[in-house]
Amino acid sequence: MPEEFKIEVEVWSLFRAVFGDARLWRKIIDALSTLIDEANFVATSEGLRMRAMDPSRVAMVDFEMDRSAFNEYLCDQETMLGVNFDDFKKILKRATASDKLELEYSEEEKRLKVRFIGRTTRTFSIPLLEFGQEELATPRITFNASVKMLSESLKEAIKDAEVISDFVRFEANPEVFIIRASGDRGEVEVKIDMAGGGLLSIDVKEPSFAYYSLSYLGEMIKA
Amino acid sequence: MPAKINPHLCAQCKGARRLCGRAKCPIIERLAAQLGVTEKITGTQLFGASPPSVLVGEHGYPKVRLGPLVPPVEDKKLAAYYDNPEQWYGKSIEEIIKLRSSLVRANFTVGVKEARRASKLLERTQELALSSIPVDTEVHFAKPVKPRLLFDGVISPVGPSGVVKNLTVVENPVVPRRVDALVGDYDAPAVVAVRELYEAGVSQHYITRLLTMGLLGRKIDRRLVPTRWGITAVDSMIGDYFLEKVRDFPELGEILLYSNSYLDNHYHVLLLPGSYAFEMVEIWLPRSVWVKEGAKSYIVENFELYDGKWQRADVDGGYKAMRLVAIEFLHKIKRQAMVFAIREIGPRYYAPLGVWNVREGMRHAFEKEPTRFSSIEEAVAELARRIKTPFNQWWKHAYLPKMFKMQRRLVEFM
Repeated sequence: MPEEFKIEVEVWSLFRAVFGDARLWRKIIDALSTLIDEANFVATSEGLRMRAMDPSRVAMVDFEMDRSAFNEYLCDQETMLGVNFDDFKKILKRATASDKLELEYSEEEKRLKVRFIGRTTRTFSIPLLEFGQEELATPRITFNASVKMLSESLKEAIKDAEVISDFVRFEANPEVFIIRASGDRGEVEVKIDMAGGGLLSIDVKEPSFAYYSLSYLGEMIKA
Repeated sequence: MPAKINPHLCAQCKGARRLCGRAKCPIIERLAAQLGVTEKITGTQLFGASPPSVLVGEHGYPKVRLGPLVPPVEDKKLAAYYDNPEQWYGKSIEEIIKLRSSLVRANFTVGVKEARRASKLLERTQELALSSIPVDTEVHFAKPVKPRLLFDGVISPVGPSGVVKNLTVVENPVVPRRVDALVGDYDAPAVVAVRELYEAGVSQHYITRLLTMGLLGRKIDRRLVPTRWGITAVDSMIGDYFLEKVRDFPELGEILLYSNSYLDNHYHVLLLPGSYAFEMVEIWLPRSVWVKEGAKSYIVENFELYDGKWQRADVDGGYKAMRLVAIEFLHKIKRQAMVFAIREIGPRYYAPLGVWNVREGMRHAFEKEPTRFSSIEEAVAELARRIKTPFNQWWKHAYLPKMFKMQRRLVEFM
């Protein structure tokens, strides 16, 4: 090769991922944005993850998507993608049914490219936010009970409770999981057990109960 | 036909929504009859310095009745006072009714979208609304004016009204440069214009007037806005604007309780350490405007969390006004907090004077020395002492203080 055609290559870190269904991402971001204003997505060679708390530090979202979930995935170096969820949500709203979603970041440009690939190829480019590198620790909470149930059963129970009150009480017993709410407008009790089919498994070290605010739970079940 | 009206329906409706199904609100009608207008205007001509003020009605929207308010005085300073609620604080309810009842409303009917291509009459009215100080105005009425008063929960009382035949603005309106620029800006959305004007120190009352007259916003969006909607819209927009900044401030470090009473409206505001949230509990005591003697207190409650969106279906202007004052105060002290605000209304507030009294009454609460507490229990006990309604009647409606007591945060576990 003649001397003058030698190209000098500078190495920038690069992240690129293609996801088959852009509308699924739209749903994910919709759900996350009910609690979170802005957060870092962390791209690693294994996949994409995000952990964030809502501004009043009552609720935490832990999100992970393995590289195998993507059609194509390339990440040569751990990369922080700080995103404003309101803006991100608005862009993803533009996804149509058959669109693929491509996310691309190159350190050179410091921007995240959001590309919808369908009949047309549409590329949005958004500036990233810079947060501290620090990742949130896992809260140290010991749980006395663990309950697995159909998400639909939980959703309906929360909606039932919202009719009556602003707070809800969860009760875990060896055989049955009970969701109660009471207030000025009356009382409601939702029993979820194996016989009914809503309960998948329940493991109770000791019968326990706790109260939760429906303004948080109501948002979280939308996820 | 409904035989009996639910006594709390009136407190919900406040004479504006006709929830009882009647054509006219009997409470408002009774008030108007009792309090009649003192100064009778005879003839079909009126000359006065209009405190550049305009009232836009809401009935019949999008065809609304609107018209400038003209006081029977020519003295500029005095005239301005008639329409500036920011200066009325401290006046008695009688003084305010008397003041407002002498304002004559010169009405005509227009479609709200005519704001963009105004008729002569509307154009002159807009001109008048633009002025920062009263302008000499001459009004010819089609018929002698009817001596009658108009009351509303959001709007201040207004005196007699008559249908305008002709309106002349005798002198040039005075328009501040900033206002002129934004009124001439056909690309800035109304919300941006409102923020910029407020930042520039233009009074809220003046901004509301510009908005209601369809003088702000993108050209295609401009329309006349009924005054009661406009007042609340501006409360809401300015509140949202400051809230954006408040969210970045550190959390308040102590529990504070502020109280103030004005016109038998009693305000108690509890500030709790935490991220921003606001709750209003409005208690109408028996024999106050909307609640009959012998009935229980009527309680309205609503709240919002960090996102600044109210949670209950039923909101009215009072909520947005109280929220604005709370956010304004947080912005001043550069802190965010959970704000629990109670407004208790007694029987001596026998006629609704408009939402300005809420704004001013609560603002003055923050000017007083707060009481400090070391625990929420003590604060709630003191609050219970200050509120006339029995504790368990209002406490069951409260949300934020309970949340403050019960809600643990993840940071405790990290």
